[in-house]
Amino acid sequence: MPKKQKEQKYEMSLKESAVWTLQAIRLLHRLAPGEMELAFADDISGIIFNYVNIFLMARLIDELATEMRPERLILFAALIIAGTVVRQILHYTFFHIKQYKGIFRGEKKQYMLSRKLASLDYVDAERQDIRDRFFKIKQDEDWADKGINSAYSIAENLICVVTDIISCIALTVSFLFAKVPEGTLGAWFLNSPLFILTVAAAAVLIAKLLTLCFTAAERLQLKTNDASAQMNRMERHTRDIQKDESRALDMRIYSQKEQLIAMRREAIDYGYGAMSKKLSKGRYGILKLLQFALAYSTDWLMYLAVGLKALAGAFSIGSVTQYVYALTVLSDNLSKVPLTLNEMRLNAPYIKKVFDFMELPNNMYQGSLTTEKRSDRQYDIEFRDVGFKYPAAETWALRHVNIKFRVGTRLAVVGENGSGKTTFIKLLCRLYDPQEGQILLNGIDIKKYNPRDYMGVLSVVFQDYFLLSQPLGENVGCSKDYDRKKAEKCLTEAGFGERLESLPEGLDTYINKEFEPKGVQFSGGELQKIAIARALYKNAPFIILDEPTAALDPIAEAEIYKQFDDITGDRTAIYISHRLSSCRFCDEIAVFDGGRIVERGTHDSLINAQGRYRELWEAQAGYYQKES
Amino acid sequence: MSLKDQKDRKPAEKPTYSVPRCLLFAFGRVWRCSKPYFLLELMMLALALAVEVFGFYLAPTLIGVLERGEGIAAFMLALLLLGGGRALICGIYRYAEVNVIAIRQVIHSHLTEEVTDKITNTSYPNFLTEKFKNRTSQAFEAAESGITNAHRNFLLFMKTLIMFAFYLYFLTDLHPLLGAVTGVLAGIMFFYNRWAYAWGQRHRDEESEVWRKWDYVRDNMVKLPLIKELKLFGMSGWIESIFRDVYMISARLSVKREKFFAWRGVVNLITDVLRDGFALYILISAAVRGEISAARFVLLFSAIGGFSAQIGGVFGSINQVRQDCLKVNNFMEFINYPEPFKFEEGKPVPRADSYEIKLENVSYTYPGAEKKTLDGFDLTVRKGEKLAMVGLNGAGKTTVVKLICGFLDPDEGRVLLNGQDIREFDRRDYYRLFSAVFQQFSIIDSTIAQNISQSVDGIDYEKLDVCLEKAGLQKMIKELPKGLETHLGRDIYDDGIMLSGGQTQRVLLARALYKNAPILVLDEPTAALDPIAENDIYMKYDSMCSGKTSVFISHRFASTRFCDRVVYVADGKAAEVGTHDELIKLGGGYAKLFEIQARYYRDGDVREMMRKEAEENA
Repeated sequence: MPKKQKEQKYEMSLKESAVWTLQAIRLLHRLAPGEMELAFADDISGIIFNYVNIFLMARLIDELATEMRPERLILFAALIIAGTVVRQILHYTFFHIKQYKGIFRGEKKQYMLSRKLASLDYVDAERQDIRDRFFKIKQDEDWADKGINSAYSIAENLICVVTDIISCIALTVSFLFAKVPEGTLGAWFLNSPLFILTVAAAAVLIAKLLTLCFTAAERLQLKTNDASAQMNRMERHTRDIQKDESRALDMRIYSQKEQLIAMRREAIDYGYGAMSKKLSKGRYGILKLLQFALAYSTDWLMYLAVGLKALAGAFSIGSVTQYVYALTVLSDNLSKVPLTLNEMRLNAPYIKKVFDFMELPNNMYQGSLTTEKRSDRQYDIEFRDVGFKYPAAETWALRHVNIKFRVGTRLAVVGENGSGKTTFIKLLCRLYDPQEGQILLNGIDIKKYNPRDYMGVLSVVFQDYFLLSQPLGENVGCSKDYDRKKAEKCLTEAGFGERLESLPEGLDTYINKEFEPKGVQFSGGELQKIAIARALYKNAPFIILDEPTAALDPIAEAEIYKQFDDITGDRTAIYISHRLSSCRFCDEIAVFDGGRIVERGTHDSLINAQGRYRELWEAQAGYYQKES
Repeated sequence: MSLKDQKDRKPAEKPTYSVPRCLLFAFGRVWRCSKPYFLLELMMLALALAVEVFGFYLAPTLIGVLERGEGIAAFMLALLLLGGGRALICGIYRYAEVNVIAIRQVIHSHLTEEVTDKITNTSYPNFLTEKFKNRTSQAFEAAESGITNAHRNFLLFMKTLIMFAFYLYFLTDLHPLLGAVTGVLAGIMFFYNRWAYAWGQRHRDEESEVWRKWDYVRDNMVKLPLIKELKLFGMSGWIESIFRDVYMISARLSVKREKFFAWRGVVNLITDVLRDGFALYILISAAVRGEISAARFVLLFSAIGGFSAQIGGVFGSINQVRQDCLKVNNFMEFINYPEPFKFEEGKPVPRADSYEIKLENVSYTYPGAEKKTLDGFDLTVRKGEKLAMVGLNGAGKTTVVKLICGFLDPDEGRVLLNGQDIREFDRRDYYRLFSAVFQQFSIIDSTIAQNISQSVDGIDYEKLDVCLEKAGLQKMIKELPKGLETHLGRDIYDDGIMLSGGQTQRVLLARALYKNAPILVLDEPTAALDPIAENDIYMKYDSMCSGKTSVFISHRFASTRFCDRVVYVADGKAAEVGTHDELIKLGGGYAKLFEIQARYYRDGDVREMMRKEAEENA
């Protein structure tokens, strides 16, 4: 897989990654203003109060070890308590407001990405590589914890680390300058800068070793990344399909259990499982051992440094606790700096992926002409030598198509699956732009119109029409506030009138239960009628019906047929179907085959023509005509 | 949600198995899956205790040495033993942990297999009950974490208990009240928090409403059919407002939540101040009286912190273990879920050249449904005959198929295979009799070869080739770079292919051919196909089922043409049975249905006919 290798090699400079991280933070700020500021304020105040506490505690211990003046002791104790009070009040205030400000941040981001995908040119929105990119962004965030959200935690880490370092330095300044009384053993060393340098060198060495262990271990783990991602996908897939009731029948008849178990074993026991077991026993485990032993070594090393000076009498016992704590945290945090920066560098490419996706262009030419509003519905649409090829496809899906719709007539479009019917409709709806030829509305290329205006001329009931689990009326009007009278009228025209009257909630009845458990589950025929009502509501001069009866039984189909005249009215209608019965009530038939229109005419003329249409007709009609 | 609904909600079911039984089960499963894991976990318990004790003594001991002025040698020794020792133990602990995590993965895999075994074999009616479905999800959850968690968290509980005793000893040693006050305050805090966190439980419906609605918006917004409509009907404003509504529900809930939890801050603050104040008072006064040194002060003050953390820990881990055991319980209930069908204990299906299936006065009602789907259904599928089944959507055709195939057992009446009630048989053996294509199918994201041959090893490639040829798939497979080893679907493999509706039908056909079982059942196999392809598939099935007992279901009449007999299903009964011609002559429901479709295919003016009909209706 060459693509993957490229991805792994791709590394960013620190500066570039900082720029992307900042961009991500700006986005997060836009999505949830105030959240991050409050989180940072909470972190910083927490750290500062912590050191105030340490400092006060050290003074208290000093006092206990030396003079034990009660008023002093009470003062320190009171200050410690007061510190806790202030800190807690600040923390809970910051925290709860932050929680509120951050509500739905991730969802808003996901919505933003989804909206972007939906707003792309349709050709792009259905491209598998683009959809993969879209889903990969979420996958990276969920499984690898990489992306926009991680910028938040990285920024938070950096802020904490910096605050910690500054506070620790403030607490340890006095340690550096505290002098051991002259004449004590080794005083020259403990008082010279050499001592500080030795301590610093030791701390740096530990930090360095720690980082080495950590990155080496990470690198080992990186090797298992693919296997682990594979395992996750496998687990999810195998689990989902076992739970899926609709698969239970095949699962038993075709004993699919063996396959499932074999797949799982391959991915887990022999794949990731075996790999990580081996690594953990060996190098990875040892590296982790070293890393943790080192991490827990900083504090006792610092004890050594502080203790030596204290033994020589440089400062009090209370200060020992203060210095040890501060120095330990200081060296800890210093070692965190490169780790956090590294994390930022690793994360930034994922941020870039998100922004790259957000900047995908819309390539379709968007004209600005408005369509004229005509009450007589005199809109002519014409295909002139139109050809279309899907991206990455080698053959033309449609070529040399010429057709002119006559105003107010009904055209049936028939042909086998893959003959180009659906592509034809998508071109007509300007979901695609043709690579060859032109489509004209009233003599002007449709590209030159404002797309919104052009689409206003068409009403479509797609084969895979999509009704949302929302109130019935909203589905018809495609909006929260719609014209209720008009919606009712359209539903009645579509043959849904009686059913509408039987619904206690009427237009406010939710369709299906996914969004609202009180919703009603309508039958396929009823849903089809609602979809038709939606098209009628739009009241466009063209109406296109794409396989409206494919999923219906004969009775429901006959009902739609019956309603056909009401539905079309004085509109120009295009009816696509592979049930040829529908051709009987259309004025003209266009037969598609291999991406071209091979025949045109009325039913009778085409039957007489003995061509492709007749072939299709007989394949179907044969079942019904035997005895006549 | 109205008051009534809330009252109606059933109280949570009591678990079948007690906590000790669940723990025993969890420990047993872990031991069975991996003994090294079991021992490593015990070792980690000991190491964790050591780390904590070493850490506890480090600072006070060193300060003590300094305070007493015991000199550099004593200081270094203490440092090396406590500091160095702790670092080393931490390292070893981490090493053990890394290994434990790696092995845990494999344990989960074993347990998940156990779930898979049950779920893929369980009696089909179990799938129709909410309870079983819930148990299924829960069993997966238990397999993937619950059981090992119960084991691990029980050990963690042991650890906190030991540490609790350890700190308690220190505190009571100084002042009898110190342990008690700290304990009570920590207890108050813990129970308050537990009650507060149950807020989520109390607002579960509101929360799940938010997530259900959001999931719906998220999942559907990027579906291509919706994107098409979005563009043509300018729906983006509508969808935006739906999203905003969901957001508003969530924001309202959030305000409620944060306001409520603000009280937690107040309670936390009060207990913290009381605890620290009391502790400082006792310790400082003891120090002033000269009872304790500065080093001892440090030791005791950190013991107080440790003790109150342990109290929360003890309560918390009891709670945790109980919750884990609930998951173990669900797993056990799932594994032991009752099976209405007979499997190994049933009789083997007698081998015969040909089979007859008889439905005798069969009634069936789906769980929770009010109406009987089938009511007194009588039908005999004769040996070697081809039977077509037609009827309107919802007439019960698919239910008949499920009864014939032994997925459902009738509430009344019997299903007989060559005269014997199929309930007597080993159901898995019975399933071997069928090659079937259902409306709801399952194609796994494995290779084409595996899907069609229904096996992983021992695939008969010659037979496979023949089946692919017959199903008309050879051309497509030749064009694939990986041929038969191409993966289907993209859930697992990025290079998997997505099948079109027609290709799916052909894969299902090839699979049925490969299985080549004595009884063939097809439920609407051609709904997505155009007339030519439909005809083609029917011809293939026709040739495939020669000599076999077969049942074809369709609401279109193509199938009735090559079948020996037709059964028309209406109102849960086999309303009409006979040859096509007989039923047409009968002039009943079948003839009417046929006529509705057929008239469009006859000569004459269809529009005139429709207009007349409309007038008659009016």
